[in-house]
Amino acid sequence: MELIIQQLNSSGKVIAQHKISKQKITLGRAYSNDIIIDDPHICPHHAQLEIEDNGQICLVDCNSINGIFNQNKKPLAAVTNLNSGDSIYLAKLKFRILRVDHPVADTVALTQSEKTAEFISKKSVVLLLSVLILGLFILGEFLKSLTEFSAKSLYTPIISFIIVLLMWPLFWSLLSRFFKHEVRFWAHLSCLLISLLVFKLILFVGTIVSYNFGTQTALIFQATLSYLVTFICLKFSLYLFNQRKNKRQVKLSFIFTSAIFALLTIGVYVKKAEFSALPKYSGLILPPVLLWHQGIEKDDYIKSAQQVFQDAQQESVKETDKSTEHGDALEEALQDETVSSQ
Amino acid sequence: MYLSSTRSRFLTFLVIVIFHLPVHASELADQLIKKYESSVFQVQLIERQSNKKSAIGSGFLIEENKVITNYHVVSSYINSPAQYSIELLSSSDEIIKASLLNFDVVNDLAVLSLPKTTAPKLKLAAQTPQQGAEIYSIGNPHDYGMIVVPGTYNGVTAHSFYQRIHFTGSINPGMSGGPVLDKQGNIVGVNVATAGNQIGFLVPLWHLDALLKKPILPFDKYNYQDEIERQLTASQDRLFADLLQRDWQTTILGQSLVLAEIAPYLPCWGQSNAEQDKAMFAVSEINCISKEQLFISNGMRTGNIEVQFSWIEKEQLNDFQFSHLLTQSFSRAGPGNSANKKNVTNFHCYQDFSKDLSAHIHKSTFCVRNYKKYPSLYDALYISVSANNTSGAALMSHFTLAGVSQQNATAFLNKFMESVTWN
Repeated sequence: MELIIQQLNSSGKVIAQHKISKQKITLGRAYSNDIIIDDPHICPHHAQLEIEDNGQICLVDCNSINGIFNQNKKPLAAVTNLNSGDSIYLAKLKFRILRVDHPVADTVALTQSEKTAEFISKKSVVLLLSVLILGLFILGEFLKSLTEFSAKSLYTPIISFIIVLLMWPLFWSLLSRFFKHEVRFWAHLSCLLISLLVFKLILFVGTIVSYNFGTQTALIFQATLSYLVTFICLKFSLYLFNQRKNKRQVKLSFIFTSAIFALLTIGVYVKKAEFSALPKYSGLILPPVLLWHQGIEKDDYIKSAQQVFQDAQQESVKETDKSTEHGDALEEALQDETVSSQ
Repeated sequence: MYLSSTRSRFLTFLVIVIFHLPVHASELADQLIKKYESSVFQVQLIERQSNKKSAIGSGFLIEENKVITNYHVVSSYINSPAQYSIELLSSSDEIIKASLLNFDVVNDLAVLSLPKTTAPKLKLAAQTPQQGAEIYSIGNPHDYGMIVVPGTYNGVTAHSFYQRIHFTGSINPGMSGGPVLDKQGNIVGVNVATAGNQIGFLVPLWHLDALLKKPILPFDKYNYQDEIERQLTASQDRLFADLLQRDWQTTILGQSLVLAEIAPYLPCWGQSNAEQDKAMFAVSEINCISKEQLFISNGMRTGNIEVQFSWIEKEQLNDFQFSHLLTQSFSRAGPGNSANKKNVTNFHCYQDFSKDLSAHIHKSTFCVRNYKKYPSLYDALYISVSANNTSGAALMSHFTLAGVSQQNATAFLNKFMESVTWN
């Protein structure tokens, strides 16, 4: 009769397993044991497993100092019967005892996500993406420079940019390490780079839309797509983290994405000053090729512009209403004074 | 030879001035201050909470119960009558309570009333002095005591709409509202401002005369703001009637036709980046800015106009870099006058692409903010940049108007937009 003895870590992951075919299996720190456990709290001869004739598994405590416990850490009697799949503790260490015919979980099929993950982990893909994003970064800096362009001046921004980029895969790697999952550094990096490229595209298209059709339309377009991209990126990162696909992942991604967008919105709102002496408008000018708007006639422009006078006056009226209470108090104070001076 | 002879004549003149004039001037100044010492007061604004003075100026007796000072000296009282009161300090250190009778915010004058006094009152001069005439400014600079400053009458300042007298002599804070007398002791102006280095400004005699002839309004004590609004509205109507009836001359800037000096009180200055060695692009600018602002309160000025044009050529920049440059310049428009949250709303903007007469398309932004206390008045701002020119140049045109009605701002915008075109 064969038994499987698995040693588990605190989060329940198997860290070692033994398959032993013996009537009596001894566990302890001494080298004469069938299963040698190197832990100071385990006695040289701590416990033994016996398989009775009828096939019953029986755990015997060999007068150990730190005892044996069930999976709820309740002390067990000196002799206890076990079923296949039961977990026990020897001192602080967790074990699980299984028969060979114990059922195993269904096989997880390799998903499309896994294929994608494999693909984007390829060194060539990572390299291509990195070159693309750095190229775009340098191009952006070049198109913004209004003085003679020198590559030297890009050194610091590029290094900082790379360091910031590496934060994301490093974060996931550390998290995976901590939870003893597969690390997948390159896949996380690729995931970030692809998301950034898509963001850039959204921004570019959004800028052109906003230039030609007004900021409002563009803002809705950009916000919706950015939300979607962030959601997908987070969900995929979570998949890379534990390689499982479930509802919890979708829920988590949804919560995180919403939290990020909520924080950003609040940030904009908090920063928005109540009063500014400077006008707020879009100063964006794009090259003539990207202008599709035909322009309106002067008279139409002036007619439409009249609206701002009403808008400004409305703000003024709203504030006067708010301060009326204060004004009344002031007037009363004044009247009091007139009376007293008489 | 010619040069040296000129110099020697100049030197002689200098010597004569140094030798003769001070004796004469100081004698006269001495007589003047002795004679009118009791007619000039220090005007004090008393903050009611602390019961201490929070601002000082000068003032002078024009009738036995009327004192003239500057609007800006008593502006804190006018803007919050509950918080301040006005007191006069006489030459004999007597404190006299005064109240506001009338004011002229545009010409920076105020008439105060006080109990009848026996001090000699000052008289308005029958006519304005000649340019170069000696005149004497009296006031109490920085609370150091009443002094007299001799100087020269130099007529109405150039490039001005609101009209001030240019006085060559030192006027310092605290002297505001003090009288300026000719040799006979008649009033020729009122101290109002300084531009430093012996450049002083006076309110002309005729504005004082006009204010004194105006009927005294039965002010509702809490409604000075309505009167300010009336005066500002009338003043901007005058200004824009004058501006809009003028034939606006144009001038060539790059390949565009822009406005030249549209009125003498909007003098234009030019500049470019041609002298910069490493510039990748070329900019030439015309700035026309009115030098005068009207003081309303500590937190607010108004009444000024700016008109500005830039011609920008891309030269070594590519299309994207050039549009980035335009974006930077286009984003920077701001008002020409200072105003705070208490006085104005935020700017409200309208933005669209507009077509000019030469079918060029401009991205144009028009913004206004409303005056909270004077609801019929606004600060208006317009900035426009050409957006479809493929020849590698752009025209940026911009103006700001402070304290203008909707009607005048719209009329100005209309005339401005039809005047600026490509050549």
